[in-house]
Amino acid sequence: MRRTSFVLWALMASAALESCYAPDLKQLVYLCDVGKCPENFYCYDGVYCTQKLEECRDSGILVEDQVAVCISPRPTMGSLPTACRDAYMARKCDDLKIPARESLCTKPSSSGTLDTAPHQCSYCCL
Amino acid sequence: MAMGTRQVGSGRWAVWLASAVGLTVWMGNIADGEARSYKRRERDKYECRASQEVGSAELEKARRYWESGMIYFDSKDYAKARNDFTLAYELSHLPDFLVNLAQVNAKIGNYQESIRYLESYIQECPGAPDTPLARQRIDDLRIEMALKEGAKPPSTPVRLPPKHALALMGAGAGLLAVGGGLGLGALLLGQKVGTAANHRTPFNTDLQSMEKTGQQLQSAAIACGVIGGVSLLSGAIWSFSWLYEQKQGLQLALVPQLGMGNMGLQVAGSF
Repeated sequence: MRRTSFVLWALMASAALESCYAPDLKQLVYLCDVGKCPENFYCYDGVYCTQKLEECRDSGILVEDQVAVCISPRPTMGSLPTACRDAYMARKCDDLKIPARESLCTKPSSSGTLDTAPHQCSYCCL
Repeated sequence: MAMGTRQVGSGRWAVWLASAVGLTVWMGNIADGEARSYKRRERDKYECRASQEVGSAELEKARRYWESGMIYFDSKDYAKARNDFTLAYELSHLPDFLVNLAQVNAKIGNYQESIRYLESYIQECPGAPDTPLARQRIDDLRIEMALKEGAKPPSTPVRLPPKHALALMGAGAGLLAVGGGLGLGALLLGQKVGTAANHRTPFNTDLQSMEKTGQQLQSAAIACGVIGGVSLLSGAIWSFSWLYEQKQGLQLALVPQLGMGNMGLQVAGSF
């Protein structure tokens, strides 16, 4: 009986392991490498690996469930105040572990220092 | 009980056997299944083969074991009686104890042992007047043993499900295990790609290769999992239905039905 339950547990654990390539990309921002990005990400502006998200007007990365950091070109006129879609609100999320907003909107320059990219970034949620 | 007072000297064990210990040849008690009682009859020289010489102290001990063995025998404590008769025989090597051992083993139901002791007795005392009775007793014991064997319900061997069903289950479990291993590899690669240490690093060729390998491992793991799961389940259903059939005495079969528009499994057999 004990052996049978052990075998069943082992089989269930095996089955559970069998769809497990799922890197957690919520806690980091990848930079593109010659335009290459992780699966489901694409190279935004030749620098960041981002996703098309429901929350974002343009692109972004999901940092928590239903919270995204969105990136958009900085508007020349002041007509679009945030990078969020209309239904989503921009909010301040100081408690997030990764300062994704700064990471996303700061790109390395050729001089080795960090430049502020010509983008605007916002935390967006419902 | 009349205990003899003769001194046992070398070469006189047969005389001592008859008179001192009093293990007499009692013609009746081999056939009626009783242990030898305390009666006297001196054996003639030709009856038994000469045995090894035994000291008087050993013979005295043997006598005591014989006495207590008889008490146990009369009170139907055959296991203890057998012990004492065995010790008495080991000490004295007197052939009459072989008869007692045969009788007590027959009482316990150890027919084979009983026959063995009687055969030893016949071998030891080929000229004894009770050897025909001992032979008769052996035949009776053989018949008794055969009757007892025949009365036992036939042993039913443990029947395992069909080999193919077990093989299917084994292969399924094996594939699931392999799938688990591949899945674990994919999990570890996923953790490497998703580590926070990679923050703001380019998604370089190493990481791309890790991602590709991880995805391939995952695909293989899923394939193994699906095939293994189906095999295991099929084997289990097959085995359980077979066991159920055996238990119920049914003749059932799951027959695959392959045809245009009516594919599936059909239950066939007698209910």
